[in-house]
Amino acid sequence: MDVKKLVEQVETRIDFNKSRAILREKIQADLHFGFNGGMFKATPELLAFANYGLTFPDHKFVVEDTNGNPILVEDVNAFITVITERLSSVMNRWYVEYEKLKKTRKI
Amino acid sequence: MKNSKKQEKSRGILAIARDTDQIQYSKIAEKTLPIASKTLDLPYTVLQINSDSGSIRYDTNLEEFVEWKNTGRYSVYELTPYHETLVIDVDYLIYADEFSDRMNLPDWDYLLSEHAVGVDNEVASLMGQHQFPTIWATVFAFKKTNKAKQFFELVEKIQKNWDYYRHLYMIEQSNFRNDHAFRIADSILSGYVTACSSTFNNSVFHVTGEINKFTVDPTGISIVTDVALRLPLTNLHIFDKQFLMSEFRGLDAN
Repeated sequence: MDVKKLVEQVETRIDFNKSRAILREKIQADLHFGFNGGMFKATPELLAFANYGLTFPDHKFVVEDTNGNPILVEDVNAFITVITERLSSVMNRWYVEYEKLKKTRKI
Repeated sequence: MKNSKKQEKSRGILAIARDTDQIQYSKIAEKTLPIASKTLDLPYTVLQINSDSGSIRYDTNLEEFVEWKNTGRYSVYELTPYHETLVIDVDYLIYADEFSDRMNLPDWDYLLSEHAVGVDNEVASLMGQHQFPTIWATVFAFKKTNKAKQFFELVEKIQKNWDYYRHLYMIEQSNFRNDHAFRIADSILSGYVTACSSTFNNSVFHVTGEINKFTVDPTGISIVTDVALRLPLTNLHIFDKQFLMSEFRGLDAN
């Protein structure tokens, strides 16, 4: 009896917690984006700060990126758009993949 | 193996395949590099570097010591046909583009992988008794710049004087590892800081165990080792070389 082949054919129960943790790890990377020479992570906090930046004189501000560099954001509306798009698309994808994972019990 | 003409400001994928008596890395590269090339829409080149030195490592699948030809990696700077090069291990499967965003920024000369996750088992994340965070030479990138050249010249120096650097950084394993050499070189070039100076955002996912099942479809990857996992389309470093040589079907792995 080829035990290895037997293992392949028998449905195997998914380790949900490990799969969920790896999905989250992958999503964290996908939240990063480049803007004006800097690398940022799209978060609700960054989005809130960017919206607040609309109240700044000339709508310009400097913000630290994930590499520890100060980046001048001159087009705040474009910055907000990029954050919003990245945050919503990645979080939606996370939700969809998480729901699929919950339903998939076996491989 | 495919070779691309040198082009100004070109970008491509580079891998090194040095066959040993036990493992045919060139055969693995024939399956895995087309996947990376298709995912990233980049040309690729596979190199076979001749180097006199090498070592041995314990292969947990074969359950024996095997040849480990991991030296000479610093040569990629001189040998690459591209201006911007993404270097990957031949056992690194790329199913998602986690590199372009970072590589499209102007501020780097080389990019290293600092974060790693053991998908099925824990992986060591600290180096030596000083507990430096490990760099993973599984995937890295560089441009043809002076700083990148300095980095690889330093890696070469570290490799050729490994005993000295191993004792300096209090690393117990006697085997040379590119991971450690990269970490030491980056630390020296950055002024002896512990944080890596220039990194990718993504984690390197290591699959350490023997693979019993592996399928890929447009929605994700199913993999069974000691554990069964359902993952999104992502990039995986596969330790099970026997699987990659024999059962893995490359682009048809679904």
